Amino acid sequence: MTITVLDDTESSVDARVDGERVWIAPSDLETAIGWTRKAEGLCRGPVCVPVRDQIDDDDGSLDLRAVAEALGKQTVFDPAGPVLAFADDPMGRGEVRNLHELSLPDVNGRMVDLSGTAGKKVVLIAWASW
Amino acid sequence: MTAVAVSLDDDADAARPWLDEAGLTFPSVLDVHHVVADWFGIVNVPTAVWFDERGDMVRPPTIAPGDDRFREFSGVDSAVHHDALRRWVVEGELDLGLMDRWSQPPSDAPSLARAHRRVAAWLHRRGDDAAAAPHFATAAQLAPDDWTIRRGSMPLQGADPFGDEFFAFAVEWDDRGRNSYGV
Repeated sequence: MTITVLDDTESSVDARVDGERVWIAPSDLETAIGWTRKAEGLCRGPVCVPVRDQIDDDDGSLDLRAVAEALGKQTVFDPAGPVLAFADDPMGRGEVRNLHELSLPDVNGRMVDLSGTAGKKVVLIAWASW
Repeated sequence: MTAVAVSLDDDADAARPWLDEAGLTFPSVLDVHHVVADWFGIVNVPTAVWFDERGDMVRPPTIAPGDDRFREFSGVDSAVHHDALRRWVVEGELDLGLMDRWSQPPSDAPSLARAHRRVAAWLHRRGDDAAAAPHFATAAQLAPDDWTIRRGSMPLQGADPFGDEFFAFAVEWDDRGRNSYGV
C-alpha cells in the first residue's frame, strides 16, 4: 500500500504495514526522510550515523520506525491515513540543524532555499495569523 | 544582515492577507509542517532566532515582538530585543549565555507532541477530523505549554485562537508559571 510520510516535507512511498511496523524499500528511504542506507549506517550528505539495532528485514526492506529510532527521532503512525510522522528534539538529544539546509515554499508554492542567505547574519522570525 | 519570515500557519490563505499588508522586502516562507519548530525548538510566535553567516544558530528562540501592543500581556519589552539585535548586527556583541540555557534534559515529549500535531494537521487537511482529534489531544497533553501546538491547532479544531479557548489556555499556562516562552 502507499503511505504518507510527514517529515520536513510530505511524501508518499510504497510500504508494507505489519501492525505497528512500516517496511519500505531502501531505495525509497531518501524520498521518505532524506537519509540513505549505506554499509556504514544511515547517511545524509556528509553525515553518517552508525546503526546498532536491527533495521533491515531478511528481504532487504527497512523498518522505517526503527530507522527513526536509530536517528533519535519520534514517530507517530495512524493506519487511518495511513500516515507516519517523524519529529526531532533539537533541545534534547536531537540533531543540530543548520539554517542553510532549510528549504520551504513561499505562499505561492515557490521553493525558497535558505542557503541563499549564506554570508549574512539572519534573524528568522516565526509568526502566524493565529 | 537579512530577516526571514516563517509563517506557522496551516495554509497559504491564512498567511497571505498579512503578508500582502506587510509588503516584506526580505524572504518569506510558509511552514505547514512546523519544520522550524522541529529544527530550532520554536514553541511560540512571534519568535526570533539568530543565525551567523555560516547558518549556525547563535541565539536560541526568544519572544521578539515587533512593537509593544501586547506588552502588558507578554511582559516583553520590544526595545530590549531591538537593542540586542542592533548590538549583534552592528557591533558583533552576543550574549552567549543564552545558548547555555537553551538545552533541556532529553525528553521524548516535545518531539512526540510535534509528530502527533503533524499527523493531526494532515488528517484535518484531508477532512478526517474524527481521526485527527485524538492526535490533537495527545499533542496537547505531551506539550501543554507549546503555543505552536496549543494555540496553533485551534483554527484546525474549529476553535477561536483569539476567543474563549485561547483565554482558557492562557490562564492555564500562566498558572503553570509561563513555561516555554523563550529563554
